[in-house]
Amino acid sequence: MSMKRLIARLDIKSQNVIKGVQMDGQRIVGDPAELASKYYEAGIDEILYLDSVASLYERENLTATVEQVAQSIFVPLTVGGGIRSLDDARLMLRSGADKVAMNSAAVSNPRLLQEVSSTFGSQCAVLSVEAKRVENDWEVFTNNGRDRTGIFVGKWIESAQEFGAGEVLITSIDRDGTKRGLDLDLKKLARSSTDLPLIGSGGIGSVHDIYQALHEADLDGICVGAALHSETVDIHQIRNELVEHGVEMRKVT
Amino acid sequence: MNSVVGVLDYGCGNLHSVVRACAKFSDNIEIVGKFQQNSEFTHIVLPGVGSYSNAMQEIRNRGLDQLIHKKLNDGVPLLGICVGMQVLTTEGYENSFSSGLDLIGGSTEMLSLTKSDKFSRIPNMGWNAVTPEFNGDDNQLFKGLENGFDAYFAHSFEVKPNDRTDISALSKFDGRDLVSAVKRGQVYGVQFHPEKSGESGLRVLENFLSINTDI
Repeated sequence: MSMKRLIARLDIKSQNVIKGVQMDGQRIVGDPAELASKYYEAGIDEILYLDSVASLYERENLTATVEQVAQSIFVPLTVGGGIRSLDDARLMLRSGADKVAMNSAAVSNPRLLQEVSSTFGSQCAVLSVEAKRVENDWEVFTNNGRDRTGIFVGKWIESAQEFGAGEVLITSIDRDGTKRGLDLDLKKLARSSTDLPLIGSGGIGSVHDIYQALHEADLDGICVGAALHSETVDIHQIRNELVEHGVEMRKVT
Repeated sequence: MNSVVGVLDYGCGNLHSVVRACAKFSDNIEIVGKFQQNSEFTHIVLPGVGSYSNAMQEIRNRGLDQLIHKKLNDGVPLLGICVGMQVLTTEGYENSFSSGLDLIGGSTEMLSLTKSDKFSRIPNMGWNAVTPEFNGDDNQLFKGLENGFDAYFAHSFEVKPNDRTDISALSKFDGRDLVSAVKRGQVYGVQFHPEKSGESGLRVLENFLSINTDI
């Protein structure tokens, strides 16, 4: 059995790590390579880069950042944003990413998941789902929370698993950057829709939030963004407190 | 002597992660994409992600299987990582049957889940404890690492060696043992990714690259 994973989420725009609230009003919080190294040294289990713009020009910058970061970081690195084709995925993987996360492109062309999965293995095809609460359900949004898709979370995750995704990252847009805790009902819905490894994101503000989400929604990993960048929580403290509460975590020496 | 590391390139995704991690311990790393008659390697690394059958097909197309057999004959140690470990076996079953390098007798089969442990999933993705099995044969790969060190796994298939003495480390999956490393002579394989397992993983690579060869 795998231990619970603690993942640093770095949202990237124009070569900076940025963070907003509900994917809006972003401020610069640091340099992608510097923050990744800092979290690696502190014992993070995994790093997630999500480029919120990912124009062609920006993707080239992202590739350069990934190449640089991969020199000094020896934990898994997932990169998302602007992966629109098998070639985009290949380029990211060759630059040093271990997994690619796909949201908008997977919605418009689910076969991309299948192509990435059959070429590089399902373990590197991550479905990224960004959802907003809409009445009594959660709708999938693309393009950084801007565009509605008319697709709902449960069905989408089920079909993406059939298309060959090997991991699911579920982000609550409503909670993103708020540090108010994860949207547990959304995470539970995602959990009931798939057997795949499931990573929760959007809203972590305390160790208690992490414990509660792991415990109640049976997640395999948790992304922490805003709370790490603002040093509201620290990696050592999270790890120690979770272990004290009986959560199995990687032993960092 | 200084190591000369040949990292075999058969088009798999994460080649460069492996190269970068090895570069911490050797100044001399060559990416090898085809058979070479005269190569100076002191160590060979066979990285891998993707599928068994694709990997074997590419390895054969590029003549890398011949290179592996030749270098093993010369006494060079080989380290297979993840799918690179799986293809060391005799055969793999993924969609269809595929024959492997047959350096470790046994097969590679899809993980199955009985759900006796609710935390296990397929793919098996994340950090797991690795317990070396010494079997009287001092395993240099895990020198200096504690029993139960943690390593990063990302796989849906597992290696089942015919001969238990080929097993050099075990982990747990779905409440049972999972073979997380094999060793037969100078052929080594690890199911986890040492290049992605933090300081413990780097130690595994350092240990491999410091295995003495009399070449």
